[in-house]
Amino acid sequence: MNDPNESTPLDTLLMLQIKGEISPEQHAQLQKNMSANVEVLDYCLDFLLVSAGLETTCQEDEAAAASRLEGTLKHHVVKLRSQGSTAHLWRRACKIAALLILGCVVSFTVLRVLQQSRSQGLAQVINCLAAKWEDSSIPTTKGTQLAKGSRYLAEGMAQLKMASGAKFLVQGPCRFSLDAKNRIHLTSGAISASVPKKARGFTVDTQDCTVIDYGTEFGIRAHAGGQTEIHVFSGEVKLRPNQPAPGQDKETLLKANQAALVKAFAPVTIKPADPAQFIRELPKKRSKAAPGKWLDLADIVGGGNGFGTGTLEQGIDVATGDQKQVTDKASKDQQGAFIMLMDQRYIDGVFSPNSHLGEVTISATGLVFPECPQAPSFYVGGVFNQMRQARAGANTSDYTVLSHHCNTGITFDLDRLRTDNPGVSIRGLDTRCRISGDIKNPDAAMEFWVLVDGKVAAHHPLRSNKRKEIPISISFDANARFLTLVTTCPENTDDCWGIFTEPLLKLNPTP
Amino acid sequence: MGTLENKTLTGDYNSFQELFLQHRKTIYSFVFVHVGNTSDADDIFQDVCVVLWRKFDQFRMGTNFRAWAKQICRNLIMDFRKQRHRHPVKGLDNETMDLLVHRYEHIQDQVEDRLETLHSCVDKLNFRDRHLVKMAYDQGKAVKAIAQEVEVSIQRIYKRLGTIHGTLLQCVRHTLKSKGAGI
Repeated sequence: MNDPNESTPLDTLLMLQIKGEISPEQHAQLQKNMSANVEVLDYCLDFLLVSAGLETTCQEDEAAAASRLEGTLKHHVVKLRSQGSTAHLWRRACKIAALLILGCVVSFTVLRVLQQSRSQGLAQVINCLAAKWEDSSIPTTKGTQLAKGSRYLAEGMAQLKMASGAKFLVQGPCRFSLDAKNRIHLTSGAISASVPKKARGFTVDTQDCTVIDYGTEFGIRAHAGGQTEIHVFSGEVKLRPNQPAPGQDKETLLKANQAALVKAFAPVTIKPADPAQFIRELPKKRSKAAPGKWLDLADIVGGGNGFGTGTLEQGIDVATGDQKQVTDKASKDQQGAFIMLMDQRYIDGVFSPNSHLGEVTISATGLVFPECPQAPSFYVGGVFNQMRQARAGANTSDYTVLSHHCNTGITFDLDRLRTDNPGVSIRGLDTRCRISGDIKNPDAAMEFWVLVDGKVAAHHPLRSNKRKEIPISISFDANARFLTLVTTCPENTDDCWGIFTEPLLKLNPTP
Repeated sequence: MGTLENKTLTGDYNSFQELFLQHRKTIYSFVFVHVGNTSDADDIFQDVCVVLWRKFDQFRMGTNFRAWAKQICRNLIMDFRKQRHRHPVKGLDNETMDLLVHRYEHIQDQVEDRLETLHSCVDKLNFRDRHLVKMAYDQGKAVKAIAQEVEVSIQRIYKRLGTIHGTLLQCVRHTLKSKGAGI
């Protein structure tokens, strides 16, 4: 509809008019255009309606509009009252004090109403775990109403319910904004959403794409530098890349158990969904693990993502690489080979360390453990995710442990953990090691090892009769790839359990 | 007639609020089309809120709130025009506005549909345009502030916003036409 003969396009003239920034010359040009014919007039009318629609559609949801209305009316109450009668000055003077007080009271009330109405927002915090919010002056404890705007969950987890009924769990660190009653923008971090039928259409925007829900459960992880992963657990979502690759469809329908990787100008990559990467509900068993702060290696051994999604009493048989329960019969194996775990995203592999059989390989890339002692044992079990109760009267809560049978080793892949935990760096390990108190043999001995990229970072030989627990706190480079935990036993010990208590990776938010 | 002073925001306020919120978008659009710019529309709309509430006890429940509200809008817009006549400001002249209003009368029954359709059209914008709309309307940023933020000239932002409005307009027209709404 722009007239090429005119110096300023009609659309721009209308924008300038709407914003009150039109110059007299442009104004004359616009008037001339509008009176030219009915088509142009209708175009201008539709243009104004679009602008009016954007003012009312984008700017406010029902709750905000209600509070604005209330605020406007209360403001006018104050205005009208303060105009008062001017007939009797002496009476007016007496009234001034009262009006001032009234003004203060009403202003205070209006402010409170505004404050409350601001909090009657788009979402409600329905549950939290170790949540630490930043960049927000509004309290965000359980039950708090959240208005439109940006939020940053630095640590922990929070479950929110949108005004539409859609629920989502935020995993810190996560930066997002509530945009409308059924729409959010995920800037960086991970969320998992559960959307009932009534909230169908729940929309998540990221830097890379828009995801529109069709009544389902899904997880999204957005990286601040660009790249979004969408995992659909049930139902379907529509995926619309912001900058699709040339020739690619503008929309992709993702079905249950599918995941997609979206990058600007790159084809959308479809792969199987991995629900374990996302926290879908707050863990019932409390541990110290909290997204953005501590990541629990024991939970990973239990098949979780390090934040309580793993199964307790579950672990991995180091002789076979299979998942097993702690009560299952232990394997007998002497191969000592490194077993790469293809189905465990954060575990590179497991092994039975015994230098008697030759070089001990501890990673899929071929790192070796030359310091490994000879172990006569042929009886190996596995490593397990377990929880211990705090002692009665102790000033601590229950805690997770990584139970290692003697002569077992496990290597974690820190790179994958970094990939799936955007916004944090993994800079160290804090744990304690000891021989299990259940071991009756007073002469039982065990050595605890921690290796980073094949280099020994901690080594502690212990005997069961000492009943000692040794703290281990190591730091490592931000690019360290493999973290290995090993227990080895000498000749006289073939059935012993070592404990890594609260094996937690230290997470630091990255700027 | 109840005055604003002796009315409290209780009792029939709930009915008023419900009706007002239901029709606020149409009412705002009505005002907007009659004045043609955001600043004046916002001022008049605020006055409309107050007058509608002050006169709400004249409104008979069960009758057409939107029509009643529009009549009040018309009176306030006329007052505004008289004031503007005394203190001329930049804006479309009354004759042009009358032409617009005349055309508006023809489509006023479609306004709600148009607003609904607009919502889905905004969703179809690409990320950058949607972000620009968000800054201009959702966050209420001035064009100058947006230009500074995205580091382009003010003229480019006006031009881009104009183009986006044009795109949305065509989307609304096309969508309603495909639904047989007679655009």
